[in-house]
Amino acid sequence: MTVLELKPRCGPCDTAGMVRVVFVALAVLAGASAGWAQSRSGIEIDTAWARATPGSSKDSAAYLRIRNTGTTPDRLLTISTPLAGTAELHETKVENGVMKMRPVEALAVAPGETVELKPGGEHIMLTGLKQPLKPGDSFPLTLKFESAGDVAVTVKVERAGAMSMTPPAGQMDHGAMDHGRMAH
Amino acid sequence: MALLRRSVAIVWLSAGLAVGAPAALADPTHRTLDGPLAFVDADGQPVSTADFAGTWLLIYFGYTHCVDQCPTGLTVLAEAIDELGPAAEHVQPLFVTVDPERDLGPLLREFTAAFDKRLIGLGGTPDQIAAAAAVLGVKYEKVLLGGGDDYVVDHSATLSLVDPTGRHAETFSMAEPHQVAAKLFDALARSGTSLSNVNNLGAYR
Repeated sequence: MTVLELKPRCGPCDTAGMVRVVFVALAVLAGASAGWAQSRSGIEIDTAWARATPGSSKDSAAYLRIRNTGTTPDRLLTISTPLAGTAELHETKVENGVMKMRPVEALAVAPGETVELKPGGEHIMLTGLKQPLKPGDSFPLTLKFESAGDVAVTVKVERAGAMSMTPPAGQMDHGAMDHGRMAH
Repeated sequence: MALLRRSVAIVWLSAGLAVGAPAALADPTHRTLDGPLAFVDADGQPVSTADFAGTWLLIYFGYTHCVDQCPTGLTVLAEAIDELGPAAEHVQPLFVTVDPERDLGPLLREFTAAFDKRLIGLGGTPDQIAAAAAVLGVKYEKVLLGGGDDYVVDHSATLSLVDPTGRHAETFSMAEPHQVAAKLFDALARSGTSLSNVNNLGAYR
C-alpha cells in the first residue's frame, strides 16, 4: 500500500501544524469523553485546488489534503462534482523512466494521518468538464468516505501548470516553492 | 494500494520499445539523426525539424488528456526557457503528442498556448510519431482503462534536445527548471553560441 505522508516543510508551518495537532487531540479527547462517534466526523479536507483547463481541454486535475482526526481508519471511495462527467482518483508513477497514470480503487487514511494529493502523485482526474476552469474560479466537490460519509469541499482554480495552491493573501507558505516537483 | 490491474490492457507498443531503446534514460542518451523528423502541426500542415535549422529544439513528448504530469512537464520546459533570458532566442520549445488521434486542431494549439506562447504543438500520423520517438529514445504505450474507449498513454519522463544542425540529439530525464536551464546553457556554450549577454550565467555553472 502506498501511503503519502505530509512532511513539515518549514519551521513556522511545522509549529502551526503542531498547534493544530494539539488542538485536534484535545477536541478528540473531549469528544471521546462525551461519547461522540468520531469515525463519522473525523475527516477534514483542506488545500483543495485544481489546475485551470488549458485551452479547450475538458480535462483537469484537482488536489487536496485529507486529515483523519478520528480514531478509526477510513477510506475515500468516490468523488463527484456537478462540473465534470467523471471525477476519479488516479495516481502517477514513474517506472523505468516511464510515467504511468492509473485509477486507484480507494484511498486509505489511517487515524492521525494526513494524506496529500499533489502533482506527481495521487490526484483527482476530472474528465468531461462542462465548463472551462479559469484561475480564480471555485467549484464544489464531494468526497465519499466509507465511514465519514459525504464531505463537501470548495475547490479553488489555479493556473494550468500550477504546482500548488496559492496561499491566501498575507499568509506565508514556503511549501508553495518548488520542493519535490518531480517524482525523481 | 490496489490498482485496477485487471481492467488494464496493453494494446500496442511504441516503435521505441520495438527497436530496443536504451535501457537507462536516467543518463543523457546521445543520438544521431539520419534525416529530419517529420510531423504535422495543429493546422494540419507538414512540419519537420529541418524547418527549425539553426535553432536548438527542446522537445517534450506528452498528450493533452494527461492532466497531472504533462502540465508539470510543460511548465518546467517554459520556466527553463525563461531562465535562459536573452539566450532563449536560440531554443524553440516543441510539444509532440503521443496521442495524435485525439490531439489536433484547436485542442492542440490552445493546449500549448496555455503554457507558453513560444511553445509549438506537433502531431502527425502514428508512424511519424513512432519514428520520431524511436530516433530520440522516447517510449510510449497506449493503455486501455476499464470498459469503453477510455485510455491513457504511458510515456517517458524525459526532454529531448536536438542541435541546430538537426543531426545530433540527446534525451535526458525530466528535472527542475534550473537544472534544465543549466543543461541548455552548457549545450549552447559547447556549440559556440555567445552567452555574453546572459547576466546570471554563474548561477548555472
